[in-house]
Amino acid sequence: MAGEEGFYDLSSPVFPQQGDIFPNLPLVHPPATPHLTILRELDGRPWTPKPGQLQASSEQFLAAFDDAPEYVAVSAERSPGIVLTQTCDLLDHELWLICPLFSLEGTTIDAGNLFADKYANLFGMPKHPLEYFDAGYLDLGKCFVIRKQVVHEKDRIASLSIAAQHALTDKLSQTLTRPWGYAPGELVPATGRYRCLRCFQFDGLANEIVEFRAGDKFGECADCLKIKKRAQWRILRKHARY
Amino acid sequence: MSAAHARVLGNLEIARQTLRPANPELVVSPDGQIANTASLTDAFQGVRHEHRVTLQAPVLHEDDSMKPVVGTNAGERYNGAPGRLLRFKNPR
Repeated sequence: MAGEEGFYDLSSPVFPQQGDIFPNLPLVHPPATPHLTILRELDGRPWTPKPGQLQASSEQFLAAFDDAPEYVAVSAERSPGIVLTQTCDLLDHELWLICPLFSLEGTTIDAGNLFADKYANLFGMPKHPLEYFDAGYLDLGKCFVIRKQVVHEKDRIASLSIAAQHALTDKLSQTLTRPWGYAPGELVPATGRYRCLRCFQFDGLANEIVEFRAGDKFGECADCLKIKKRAQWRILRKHARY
Repeated sequence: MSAAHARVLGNLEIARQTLRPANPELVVSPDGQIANTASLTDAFQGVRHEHRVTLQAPVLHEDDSMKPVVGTNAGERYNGAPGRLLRFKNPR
């Protein structure tokens, strides 16, 4: 959606809703190794949360998670963020899906294209009307989970207008649930009849069913090649309930 | 032992037999724990701030969108450098 007019709802809706923005959400980053950093008391006993000194050990070198949970070290930061969990689930669900707001600074993102909805994986966020944050974007491939207790409704700095909520819903669908198919050159996993997903929705095209054999490589789709697009081959199944 | 428990143990044994000779980088401990030793193994390295998800560029697998947009570079997926996190500013 272009521009900031009508994008944010500053009227503080009565209930929490998808698109609510909070100023300082915790982002807890999963460790990048198979082994966790275990936090224990200095004598090696399981830690009881309290102020004081701790001992950090690699899970690789001690008997951890012996029928009991452990405390571990992780990297974390705080950021303005937006709630992605559906409105009707927010009151009942313990965990909320959220996405942090990123700055356009330091990127090669074209702001015009961003706010014209031309990036398939990014959602433009105009500057806050009260200047609580600058214009930025959501990268919907980088979502985090929070406990709902970490936010208080009084801290909400904006909600999305109905129109912006619909735009966000479209972008979520496009990013997280888009259909996919095999590209030309990829190995055929199973012999069968395939159809190109990219062009099946357009009128006036043959959208032919093509048989590929396991171990061969997928070819081009004649229709998509004409407009310089790559095929997306998906195997056809028996028509049945699913 | 319940049927479900026996099935889980059976699957675990199949996993041990399959993984050991086929992929020596996957280590299966006697209690069924599977560790991938081919990746970063230092637990302290793995929690360093430079591994934050927010520092990583978007990972993209498709070259354009199913959603047609007229007359533009429609459906382009940005895969360049990530921006820094926005800061909350209280102007009051």
